[in-house]
Amino acid sequence: MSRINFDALIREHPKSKLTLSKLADWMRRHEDIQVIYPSVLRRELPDIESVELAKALLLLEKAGILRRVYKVEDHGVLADAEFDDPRDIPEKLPGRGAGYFETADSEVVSVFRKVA
Amino acid sequence: MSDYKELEDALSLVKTLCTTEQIQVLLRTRKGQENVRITAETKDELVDRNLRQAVEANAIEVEKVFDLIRSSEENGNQHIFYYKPKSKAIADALTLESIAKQLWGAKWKETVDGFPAIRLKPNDYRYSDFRQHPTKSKDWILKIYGHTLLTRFTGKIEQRGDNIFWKEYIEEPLRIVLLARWNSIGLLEIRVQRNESRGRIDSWQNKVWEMLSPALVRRQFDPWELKKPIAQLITKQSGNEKVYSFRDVDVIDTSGVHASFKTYEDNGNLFTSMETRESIQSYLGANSDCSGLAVTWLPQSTGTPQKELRTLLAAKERHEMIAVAHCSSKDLDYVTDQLRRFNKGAS
Repeated sequence: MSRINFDALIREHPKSKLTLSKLADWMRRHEDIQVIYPSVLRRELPDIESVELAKALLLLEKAGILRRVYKVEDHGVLADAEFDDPRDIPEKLPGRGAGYFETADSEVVSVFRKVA
Repeated sequence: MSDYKELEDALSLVKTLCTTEQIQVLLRTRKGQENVRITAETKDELVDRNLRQAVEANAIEVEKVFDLIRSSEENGNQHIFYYKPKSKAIADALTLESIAKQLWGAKWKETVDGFPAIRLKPNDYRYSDFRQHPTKSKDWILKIYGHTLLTRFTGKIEQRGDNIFWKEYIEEPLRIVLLARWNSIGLLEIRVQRNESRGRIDSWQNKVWEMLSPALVRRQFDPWELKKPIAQLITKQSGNEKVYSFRDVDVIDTSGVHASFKTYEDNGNLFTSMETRESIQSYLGANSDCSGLAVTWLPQSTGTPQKELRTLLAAKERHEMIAVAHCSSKDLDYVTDQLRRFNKGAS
């Protein structure tokens, strides 16, 4: 992860310096991970408030470091399918088990892919 | 080999099943040759002009087009049902020639040489392909194409009067791809594509058995249950972190109590949680039944698997594996080999 990108971001958004620094460290320690789950970050960076984390991820998205994609919950856990646009989510998806589930009443969750 | 009309169907199938990149990879194998163009403005042009020209000029063998189709539809995004022949005599009789003779009679060679058959029969099934495995000479693959119409509610509702409303339904075609793959080490795979209807999946499996007879029948085989490989995979995970990880598992203890362990994230690893690891091992130790094990097979330095491959073991039937996404034939064979290895209790 380029230190330059984060340094520039921190200069532009000094109020998010602490969060961005912690996020930068986490991403450096997990360089092989291509998809970042906010749920994982909340567990592994418990000192960062959810709102601050969301703001920092949005900054990274706007800076082109991360790309937002969408996943759907299947009875409380994330199904495999991933979508660039939530409008592409079909009525039914393969679930975590052997069958399919209806997406109409399911939660849609944002996760973030690293931009190459 | 297929005639011109079947080539049209094959190219149409390539357009539907294959990515632009896959098609260009094939064209690049003949880069620089006359009548071979790699780039195109659109995917339609890539297939309808570039690929067609290359095939018609014999710069690319039509067999390579069929290989492209095979690689796109035969491996992954499937339910795989495993069976073992009940005796060695049955296994020994499952040669390609023996099966072909029983399915197509004395002139079986003519029929088999005419494969693959690409065109679908409306609301029916047909034998599409029967061939030797490319690298395992005693293995064979039988492919069946089917077609049916599914009725789907469009969501449109019209009020047509007091207490009367009309709902709009449309019929949509569904293309069905079914396979039987004989592994000469003694394992028969019945592969059917994934679908939201379990009823369809079961009926498709039955259709494969129906179309395999009289060459072989279900009662000659026992389901190859995955109970032992599942237990071994769980027990021996700590020595195999670079080979696989788990995401989900269901357990039923000896009192009939059901418990489910699932990571929230779809790419999660169940055993990163020490309490989960200890719980599951404790269930195993107490002779509980484990099923629905979601195993992620990790890429290896050999190149097989090429990328992470997720499989769901015994989620519904004890001898059933779901390969969640499309993959290569080598990668799927790798998983079957691993299941056999863990069935023997390998470490």
